[in-house]
Amino acid sequence: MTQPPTPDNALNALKSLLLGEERHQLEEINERLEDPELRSEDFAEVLPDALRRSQENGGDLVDALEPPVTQCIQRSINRDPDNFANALYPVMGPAIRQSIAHTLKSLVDNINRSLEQSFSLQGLKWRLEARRSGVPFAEVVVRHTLEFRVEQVFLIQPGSGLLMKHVQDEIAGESDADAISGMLTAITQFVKDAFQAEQHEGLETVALGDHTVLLVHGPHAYLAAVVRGVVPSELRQQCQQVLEDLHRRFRARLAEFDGDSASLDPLVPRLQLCLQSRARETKEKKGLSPALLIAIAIVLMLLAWFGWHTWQQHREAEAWRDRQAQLVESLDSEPGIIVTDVAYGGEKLQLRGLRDPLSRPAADLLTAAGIAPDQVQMQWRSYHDLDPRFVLRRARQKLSPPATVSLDLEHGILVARGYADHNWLQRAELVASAMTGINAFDGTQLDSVDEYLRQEASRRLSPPAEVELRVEQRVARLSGVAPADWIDTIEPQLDSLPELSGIDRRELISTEQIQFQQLRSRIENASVYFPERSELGQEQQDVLAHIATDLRNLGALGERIQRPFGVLLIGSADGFGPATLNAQLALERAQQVRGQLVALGLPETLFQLQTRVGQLPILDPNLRRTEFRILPNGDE
Amino acid sequence: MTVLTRKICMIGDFAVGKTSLVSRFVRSTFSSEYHTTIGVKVDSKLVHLSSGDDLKLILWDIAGNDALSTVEQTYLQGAAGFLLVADSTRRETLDSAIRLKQQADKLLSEKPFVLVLNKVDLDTRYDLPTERLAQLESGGWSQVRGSALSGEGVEQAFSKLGEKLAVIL
Repeated sequence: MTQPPTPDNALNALKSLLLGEERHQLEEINERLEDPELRSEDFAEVLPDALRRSQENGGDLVDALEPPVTQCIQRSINRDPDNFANALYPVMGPAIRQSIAHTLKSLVDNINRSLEQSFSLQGLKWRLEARRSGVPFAEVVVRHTLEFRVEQVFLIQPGSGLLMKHVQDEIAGESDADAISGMLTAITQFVKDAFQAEQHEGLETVALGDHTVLLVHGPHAYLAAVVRGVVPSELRQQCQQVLEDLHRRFRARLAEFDGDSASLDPLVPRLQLCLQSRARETKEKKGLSPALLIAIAIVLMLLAWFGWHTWQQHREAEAWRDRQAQLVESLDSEPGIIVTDVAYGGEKLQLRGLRDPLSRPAADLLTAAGIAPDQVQMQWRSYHDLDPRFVLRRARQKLSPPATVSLDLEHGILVARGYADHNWLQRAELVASAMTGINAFDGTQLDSVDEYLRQEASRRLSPPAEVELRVEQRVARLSGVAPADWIDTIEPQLDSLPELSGIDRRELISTEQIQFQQLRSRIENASVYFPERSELGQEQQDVLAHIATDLRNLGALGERIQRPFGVLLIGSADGFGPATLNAQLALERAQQVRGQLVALGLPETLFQLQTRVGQLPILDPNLRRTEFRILPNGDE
Repeated sequence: MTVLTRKICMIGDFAVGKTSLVSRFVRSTFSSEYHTTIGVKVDSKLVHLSSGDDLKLILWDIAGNDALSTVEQTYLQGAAGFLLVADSTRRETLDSAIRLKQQADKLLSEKPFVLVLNKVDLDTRYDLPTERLAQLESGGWSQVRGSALSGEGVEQAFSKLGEKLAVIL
């Protein structure tokens, strides 16, 4: 049974007749479109090729993929950081090493360069320039070492002159970028107006001294790069490319800029591409620079000095400690000193202890140890040392024995030997018995001082046997006969005996005195007799010659014992005959004797003349004579 | 916190004290010689708004005249507002201000502005018609009496303009 034909059926039949093949294809396409699996297959087939082509035709694909890829990576890291770390591990190590190596190399380069610049003549010049111009030294160095440098880049809204974004390198100083971009815009507008430029024309370069401002214009923003140095030709082109790139990527943001600078933050990395610089070519230097060598030498010298100084200080400190120890040791071993407390260290050595006043002064020990008095602080308390040496020393101090007494301490007994007065002995017995460390006093071995003096004087004088020496109450008494030469030595010999209070030698007669007396007696007992008037016979001449000899000897003795004398010649005559004649005769006899004696060599001045005439008028030959009297000078 | 930037222009007749007002308000980067060379001097100043935000004003101090020249007109481009300055001792400078306002409105399509009546320290020589000022006031002309010499009203004028600009941010 066939169905009656309806208009729909008829249309379908017609479609299938006319478009059978195409319809089938259309259905297939529909099916593929509606089936996600099939669609994914198709997409996977064309995707790699599509990506490649997009990349070739421009960078839009990278821009498009950047946000989702970034998100993917962030999410992946958040979910499983380890996974990401594992994946990056093979890359990280070399990258970090390379980064460190690079940093170290730049550091060494920087140090080298800084030192060169600091120590070289050029560096000095640059420092002066920095001081003169008020520009930081680093900037002066950069100016001289870079061929050109883009210091700042302004991205400015045309028309309003509002600053859209501003980047600058590290060295560029602070500036009011907003005001600068305004002024730049005003200048641009002023120049355009002044020279009636076309709308699309704009100021392209502003040059002033070492500075150049490159202006690159775009529809929604223009870029101003402030360059110091010689601007390379390719720089404008690079800025142009950056501005175009910005317009392509951020057209909408640039066009809609309304004063919110933060909205343009994503532009900063691209703007920073314009901050370029190029160093001047300098001769490659190998190895360490001379400046670095000098610096190292200075550092080494400083280290050496510091080391030497430290060593010196250490040595001094050690020597100081040694000296302190030596001092303490010597004090400890010193009789009469007991160190109770020592504080080492610090500037001063502090000592405390006991000291017998009779011990050696501590200052002597300081000198021996090589320590100055101001390096030590000492506090001593006095005490009495019972060492026999100190007891004896103290006894000597208190008893003040005369030089003739020696004291000894024997088993606690103070023994006095020698010679002393009774008074001293009494006092010594009393004082010694009251002293610490002395049990008894023994004065039995002492002799009296007189005895000592007698012995001492006898030893010194060695008196002849005829002389007797006694000492009484410290007075030496000498009696007897002795040669004058010996007598003269007595006083000088005994002068140095201080205990002796006097010398009595009144009873001491010199041998010369006795001889003098004997010779005097002989002369005075002799007479020269005249037979007649006043002529001497031969016999009497001989007598007179003897007398002359005696007189000469007497003169020599008198000189020796300091007894000067004169000779009185007494001429005599008897009383027989006229008295005048007799007197004349007596005088002549005296004169005759004098003349004879002078003739025998005696001095005339020695003689005085006297006459004597007998009272009775009788002849008496015994009175015809001349007698001799010795007259001590000054005595008569 | 982001700081928005706004360009504002100082306009007014010759010798009404525009530059002195700016000098009172900011420490200038550029010398005032620019006025005689290119006819404008640009400075910037941060103002604190009552909302707590900061607004950076880029002040274009345009050399004074009773009308704007071609280049001065280009200086007005992109301005978010302006300060009209008149000398309170010279009546004719108010007329100039009114003319300049009309010129600016044409170029900027009615941007916020504040009228500063400068030199009020010279009160004995005060020369402005009160009824005219009242009339302007009622027409929406915000007015600040100020003196660049004493500092009176200077901050207030800039702040007032800043607040007006903030309203339409």
